[in-house]
Amino acid sequence: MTAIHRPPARGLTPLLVPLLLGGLVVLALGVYGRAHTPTGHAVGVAGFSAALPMKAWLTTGALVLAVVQVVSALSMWGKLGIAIPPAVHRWSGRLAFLLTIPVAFHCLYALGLQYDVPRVLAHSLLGCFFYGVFTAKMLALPKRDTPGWTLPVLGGLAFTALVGLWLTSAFWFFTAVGVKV
Amino acid sequence: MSRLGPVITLAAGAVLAAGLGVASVNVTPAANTAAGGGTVTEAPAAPEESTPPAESTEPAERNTASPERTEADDKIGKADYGGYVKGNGGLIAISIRSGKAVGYFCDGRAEAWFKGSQSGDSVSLTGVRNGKVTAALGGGKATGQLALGGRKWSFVAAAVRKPSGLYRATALVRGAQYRAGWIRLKNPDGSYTSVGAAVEGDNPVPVPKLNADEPTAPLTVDGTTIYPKDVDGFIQEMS
Repeated sequence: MTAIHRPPARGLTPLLVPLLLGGLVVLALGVYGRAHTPTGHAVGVAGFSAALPMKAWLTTGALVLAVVQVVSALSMWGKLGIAIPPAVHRWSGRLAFLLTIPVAFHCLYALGLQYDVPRVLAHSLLGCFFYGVFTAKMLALPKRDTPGWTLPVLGGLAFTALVGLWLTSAFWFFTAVGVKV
Repeated sequence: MSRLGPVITLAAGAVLAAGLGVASVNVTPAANTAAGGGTVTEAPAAPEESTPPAESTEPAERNTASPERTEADDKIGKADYGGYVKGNGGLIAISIRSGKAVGYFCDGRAEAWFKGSQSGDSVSLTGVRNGKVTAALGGGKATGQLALGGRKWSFVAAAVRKPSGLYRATALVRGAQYRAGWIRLKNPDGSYTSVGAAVEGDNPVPVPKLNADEPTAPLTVDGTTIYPKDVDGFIQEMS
């Protein structure tokens, strides 16, 4: 870090690289989702009857962990009055992120980015956005000189995107198709 | 750790995605050797980049993409059949995608969904609720038997192509699970015979007519928009 040369004021400059790389991730996922011919098939997590139930349950797992994320974050910022160890926040976040990977992989590899139905359009865009904002948050995390609102805003956006992703996928699947494993 | 932790997290995700990519390329069912009059699908193009890119570098997987080496030569990539069931006035449709088979029987009132698999020149499907369908494939048709509610019928279903075939829609209507199915068959004179049925929860409800020109055009049921899908659109949620 070149903190010596930088004024102590918390400007937006340190956020530039994380936001830029996050934006590139959004763009790369979207372009890949359109340019790559969907295969209709992808390797996923075993133990489910088909790809969609697998994705619905993994996304639901990630959503539950994301709620843990919000609660533990509130605790770390002293908003709850109880102390939750930071490790809870770190590991629930890591696990939630890893749970989403097989889901997103199936989406992009087997189905691609689609927009023929409003639900699918919203889901496709939110999916690309989620990984962008998550990347930005991860890259902003170790920086000590970012504005104070950086982590709450990026984390909040990631959480909001995940809720939207769950509503447009797992919730749709459980209600329109059925609750099955 | 605290400095590198977030980057490691991202890298772990990228590695997992790359692993899934390698595994998927190696098992992609290549099998688009359609038999029995079905139309041949395009071979899935080798992915230009089969992982969601995080900012770490990922191994190029193009070289491992040789779909032909799976055992799947036996599997039909894409085939659609539709025809009349002898003696009960209903229509039956069977569709195969990469060895996976779905079927639907409908006479406008009774209906049943089936799923199963194709192997060699035969398909075997079991009912989602009850019943069974078996058929032999060959000569551009599926010849077989339908068992439903303790009775048996035979059928001959010819290979069909869009817009003939099987359509399905699922949605949430007034809080209840809504499911509709349609079979469309082209008549010799160029017109279409269409039959369908819909259920809300477990109760039969009137089924909307498919758009004649574009069967997958959205329809409205009690103020809710539903989206009929062709087999490629719904086979994922069926199996």
